[in-house]
Amino acid sequence: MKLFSLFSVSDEQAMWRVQMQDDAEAFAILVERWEGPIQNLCTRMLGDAHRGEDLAQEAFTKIFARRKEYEPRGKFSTFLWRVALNLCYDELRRRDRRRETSLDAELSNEDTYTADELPPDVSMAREETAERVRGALMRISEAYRSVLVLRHYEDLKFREIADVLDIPEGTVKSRMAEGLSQLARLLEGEPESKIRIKNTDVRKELLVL
Amino acid sequence: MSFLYDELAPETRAGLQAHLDACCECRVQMTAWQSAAMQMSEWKLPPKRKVAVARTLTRWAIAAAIVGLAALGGARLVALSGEVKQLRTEMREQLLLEVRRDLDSALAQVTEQATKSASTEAQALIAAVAQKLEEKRLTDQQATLAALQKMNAQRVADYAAMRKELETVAVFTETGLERAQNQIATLAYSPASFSDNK
Repeated sequence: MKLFSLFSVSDEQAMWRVQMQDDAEAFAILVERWEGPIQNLCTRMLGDAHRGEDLAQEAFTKIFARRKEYEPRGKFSTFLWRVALNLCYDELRRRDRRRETSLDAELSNEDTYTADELPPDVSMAREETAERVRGALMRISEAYRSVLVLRHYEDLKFREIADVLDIPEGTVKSRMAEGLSQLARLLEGEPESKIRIKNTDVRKELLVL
Repeated sequence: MSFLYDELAPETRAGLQAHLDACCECRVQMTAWQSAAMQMSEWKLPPKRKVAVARTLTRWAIAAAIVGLAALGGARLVALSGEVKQLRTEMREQLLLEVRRDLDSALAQVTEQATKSASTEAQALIAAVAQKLEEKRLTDQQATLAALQKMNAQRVADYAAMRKELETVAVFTETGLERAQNQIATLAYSPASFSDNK
């Protein structure tokens, strides 16, 4: 009976139980509901499925550790996306530092795939595109990548992304436009300057809505 | 962007579509974004295995539970009541332990407080006793002083009376001596009478 009632509670109600009563069952429900999306977010942000899984676990651990900080007025998912994204940013910064301090200073495997240099073992056309997309996304700055991932893969509305990132909705849309443009450029292999000049005036009109 | 991700109201969408039909530059831009978005969708992640496994397991577990419940029926209920009893016993023991622990800690607190309050009370008592003793000492001192003063006054009065009496005695003695001298003198000048008398 208790389990049934737990399955029907909202995320916010479950989180409230976690916060007030340290309810492990309620927390298990939240993990069950959100583990997949959070793993996907981390994997897409880092371009690494294993590290994505680790970070997703870390995100839930952090959520439990910081359960008292959760404000029941806000959506639980907003809180969760934010915690997971911040962990991704930290991880990316750590990678940058490692890369800077490394004597070899070689790019890791996922970053070596550019629009026109594909790994030799990728043969299927679809896999090839997927790999190109992953490589291209990893080359886009975090601010654009997070918007692209949240909107395109996690299917959040622009309004929700604005809440997660705590920025205006207009900024989210302009980042999305810029991110998509950069991605298109990387995927097509066009020079950066060409796309920028071409899009400057056009994008303003399309960004209004 | 809202057009691309279908977040627009139908009438707004229709308006923008009309613009795209008319404006070549915007159409090119939109096509580039759509193309990038379509390619993004090619990066698919494998479904989360743990979740899939968990779901399958859950389904099997539910099915097994239903079959098991139907088959076991009353026997399961008896077993359940046994489990409940066992659980209750365990819980009681646990509760007792917890209550005992709580009581111990409460007792420790009370003892500590009592010790603290006792020491405070003792201090207050000592202070009161000291005050009483001081008061008593002062009263005694005053009484002694009064007695001494009284004794002194008595002594002075006695001294005065004694002196007066001594003076009287001295006067009487002097008078007696004079009288004796006179009698001696009288006797000296009349030896006959002395011898007669003899």
